[in-house]
Amino acid sequence: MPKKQQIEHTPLLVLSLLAGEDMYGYQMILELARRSNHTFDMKEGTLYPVLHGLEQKGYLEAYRQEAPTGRTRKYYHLTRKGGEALRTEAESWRQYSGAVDAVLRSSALGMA
Amino acid sequence: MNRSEYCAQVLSHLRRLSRREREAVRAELEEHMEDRVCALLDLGYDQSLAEERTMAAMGDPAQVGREMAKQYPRGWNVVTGVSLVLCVFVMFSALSSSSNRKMIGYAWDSLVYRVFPPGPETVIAGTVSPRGIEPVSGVTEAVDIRRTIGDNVLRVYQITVGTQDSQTAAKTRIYEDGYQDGALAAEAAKSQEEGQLTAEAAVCIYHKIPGGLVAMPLFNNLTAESQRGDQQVPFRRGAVANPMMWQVFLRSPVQPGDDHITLRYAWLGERVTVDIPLPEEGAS
Amino acid sequence: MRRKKKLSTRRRRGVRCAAAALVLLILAQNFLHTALLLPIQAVRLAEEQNGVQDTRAVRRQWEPELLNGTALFYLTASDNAVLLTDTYLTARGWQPRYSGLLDCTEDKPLHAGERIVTLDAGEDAENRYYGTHLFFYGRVDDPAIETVEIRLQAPPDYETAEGETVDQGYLLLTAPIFQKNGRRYFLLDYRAPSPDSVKRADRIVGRNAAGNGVTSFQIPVTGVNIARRTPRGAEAGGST
Repeated sequence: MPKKQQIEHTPLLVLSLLAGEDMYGYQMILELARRSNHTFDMKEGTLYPVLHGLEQKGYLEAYRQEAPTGRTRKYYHLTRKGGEALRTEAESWRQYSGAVDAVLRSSALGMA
Repeated sequence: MNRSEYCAQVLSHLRRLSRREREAVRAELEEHMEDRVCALLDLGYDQSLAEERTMAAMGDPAQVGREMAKQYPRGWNVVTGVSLVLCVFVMFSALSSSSNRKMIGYAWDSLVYRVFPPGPETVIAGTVSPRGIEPVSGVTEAVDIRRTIGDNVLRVYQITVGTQDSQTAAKTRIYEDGYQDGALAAEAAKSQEEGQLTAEAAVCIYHKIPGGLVAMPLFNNLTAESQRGDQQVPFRRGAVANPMMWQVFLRSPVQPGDDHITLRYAWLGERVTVDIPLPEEGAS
Repeated sequence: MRRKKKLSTRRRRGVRCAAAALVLLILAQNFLHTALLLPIQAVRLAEEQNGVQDTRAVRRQWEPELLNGTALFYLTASDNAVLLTDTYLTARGWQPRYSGLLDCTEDKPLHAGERIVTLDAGEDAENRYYGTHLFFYGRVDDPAIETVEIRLQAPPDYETAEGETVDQGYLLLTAPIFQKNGRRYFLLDYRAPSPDSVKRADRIVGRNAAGNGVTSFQIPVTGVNIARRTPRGAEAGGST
């Protein structure tokens, strides 16, 4: 079950990762693992369908550029439209997780 | 399974993608695996173990391939295809017939002439039978009188008072004979030969919207008359070959002391009169 | 820092192509008056050239045989004019051909026009001009008029078909009146077997409820043309 949730929220995570800077796929995997303290260790191949989907939707733009490693990589850039989507998605996620939190807390009190 | 086999398995689900799109997917996955393998090698893994770990980290190629295929809906390709067909159709329509190709030049002229109305010489050169037609020679004054008639704009941009040479008058008579009452034409031509003082208004007519076609009645039903109501042989010279911009010269006999001539137009209940003041020294 | 060339996506390419096509289409339609996708656009073009504005479509009639296999006749009207325009489809889009214009500014009980199309079977045909297709159209302004009768010149040897009446050398037809946009119009077409288009002098009678004539006059001819029929089976080598 946690695996399923990871996949559904990958777009939101990707968008928020790219809010800071443009990244390529492998870099995003590393960054995600680092920021989430290895909670989101997703199957790396499944990142790309998500990226391409967001790109088709116009949330991301891609361009090729040389990475610090010296190899040319496909970088993704958050568009303005993607930024707006991130804002609304993040807001609804916060509401959702807040609600889950509230339920958990009340049941904990009830048990106490 | 090595890297290229992994990619091949992913791509096997992407047959609907164009070759370029498939190659882009393959390159991106290969680059990712290259980065992963290099990182593991740096950590001291040997080559085969690094490859193995990388494949495991990538996940099921079939799932990746299926998910990827979903991200390439066909809708936008249909849009592209339909648009390209439409482009070809428009180009064919615009360029395949000589009359449509000529329209390109007319459209351009009509845009330019809106801003810079051509002089009488240009207009006469553009008429069907320009030989021997001379503009009225005399006192010329630039004016700028505009009137909206229906969807069209009538703009008077020059008024000349002087005499027309008898040769032109005679030629005019020949041109007008086709649709003009013979006796009236002859009488008018006679007065012209006697050196009748004449006012010539240079008029251009164009559609409100650049590129729009001028209404035919505006050419056929526009007349000029003196302030006493005298009309000349309906003298119309114009570059009428351009359906988006007509330059018309309208002549009216005038007498010393006249201060204006009047253009009249009537069509489908719409009546328009435009008074054009004459240059002062010309009429006196 | 930014930016290398954006990589294209299906969506971006689709949007770009659609925008280019739209711009080309608007330029071609507005400046070259070609690539018209709808017949009504061809009608509007004809109206523009006739100096008629603010028209609305009243009725259309599909007569493919009369031109290019695609002739569509449009009756359009403004407050002071009625137009019958025929449009047809070509590889370059819809095009207008002829417009018959009725000036309705004069206060008359009935305005009417006649459009004559001579049917031509081609030079080689035994019976070259094999008939005439007539269109009668107009506007009924007098509320007293309840029926519009067209009195068509009939040849002396004309044999009436079932339901036809000949009166003093005239074949009588009744034009159906219909209401549209608050006014009454009529449009009637008739396929005459004789090709005597030039000499036609057909009359129209507006009758009141009692059947008495309110007005009667000879219908002015607003357009004449020839519809050439390409013989079936004869391709490039056939008629010109």
